[in-house]
Amino acid sequence: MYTITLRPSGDVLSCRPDETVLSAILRSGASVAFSCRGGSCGTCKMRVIFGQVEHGRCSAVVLPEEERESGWFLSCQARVLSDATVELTAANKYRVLTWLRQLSSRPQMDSDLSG
Amino acid sequence: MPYRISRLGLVEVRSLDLDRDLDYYLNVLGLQLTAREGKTAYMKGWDERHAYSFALTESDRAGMVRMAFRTVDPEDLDYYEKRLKDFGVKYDVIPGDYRRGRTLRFAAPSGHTVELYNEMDYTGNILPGVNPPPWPEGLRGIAPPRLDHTLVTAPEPQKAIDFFQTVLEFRVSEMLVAPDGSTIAAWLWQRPAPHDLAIVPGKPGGFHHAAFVVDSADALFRAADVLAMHKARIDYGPGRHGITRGTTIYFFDPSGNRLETFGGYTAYQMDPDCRAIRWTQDQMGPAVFYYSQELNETFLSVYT
Repeated sequence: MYTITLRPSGDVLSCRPDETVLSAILRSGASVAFSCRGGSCGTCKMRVIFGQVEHGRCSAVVLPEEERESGWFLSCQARVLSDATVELTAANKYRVLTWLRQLSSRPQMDSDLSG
Repeated sequence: MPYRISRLGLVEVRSLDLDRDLDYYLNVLGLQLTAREGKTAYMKGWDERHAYSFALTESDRAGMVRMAFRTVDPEDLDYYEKRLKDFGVKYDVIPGDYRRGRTLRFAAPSGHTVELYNEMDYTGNILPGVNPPPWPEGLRGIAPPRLDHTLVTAPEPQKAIDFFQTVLEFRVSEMLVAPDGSTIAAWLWQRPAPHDLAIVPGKPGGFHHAAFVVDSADALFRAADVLAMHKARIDYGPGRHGITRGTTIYFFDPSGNRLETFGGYTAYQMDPDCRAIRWTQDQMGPAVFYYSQELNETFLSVYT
């Protein structure tokens, strides 16, 4: 399990190695802009400041090589390979859903059950 | 003026991962595989009688490669070739490609590659040609019977609409009109259905969606179930369009191309003298999404 710190909110969330950054953010009890979930629309684009990401399959038009090199990634496809700090902009429309955040900060029932 | 185009015969779309996406197209959307040739897979709906209507080609991006319209008669291809010449449209003649005869290929002012052809191998649908049952058993996924239409984007929609109307003799079934009277978007037809092609504002060559027929309310909700059971990304629906009256689900393939199930069973049939229905810009919400009565954020901004 890796830790992702979001800027500028400072929110910290956990991300499994096998889940995308988008799914980790949604699972943390927040909403964030995304659309096609296929690596082709660019709605969920974010930038990694520290740490490593594996980009997954993304359109070369929506995420050109030079953007990858400066840290941009599509969160619906990307997985982190280390703890990471990710910078969000207004375009990401990040918003904590208080009620959901309270639920997701409780111990995970499913992991208890699977023992 | 006779009908010279029988249908939208083929849409070719790009895939970021052909193996992954082909599995989706065959088992979730539920098309029939005609063949896989290198980096392209050719498919069709179960009720289509020609060799294929949809092609998926691996690439480093998503989006449309081309759209192709089938003419009613072989002579109609010559007729259109003359019109392309008369209007000074540059075109290439493809002598024949995968299971298809002579094809005219040209660029529309919208930036799309458009083709006209008449001959494609007649394979029949997957039912017997003699004493057939009404539908085949053992289909997988949504299993639409056929491709219906496509919607694309153009930086100057009016120019693209003029091209399809004037050079290719499409007619306008419905249009979205700005307060100054200019056309924002248009729905175009040749076969007597609400549309074979629609054009909305956006980048050159943009692909908004390709739609497959889902022809009952039962099938519509079953399609939504199939998508959700496979955790496919649904963009909107099930719902209904004000424009065309058709029922709809918008959803994305795994590469982020938008697809639609289109229910023409709630739509109308065109007659040659039908005049275009007009929608005013202030009613754009219900024009597109009749029940929610507002455009979602992705309708005009997210496409490949």
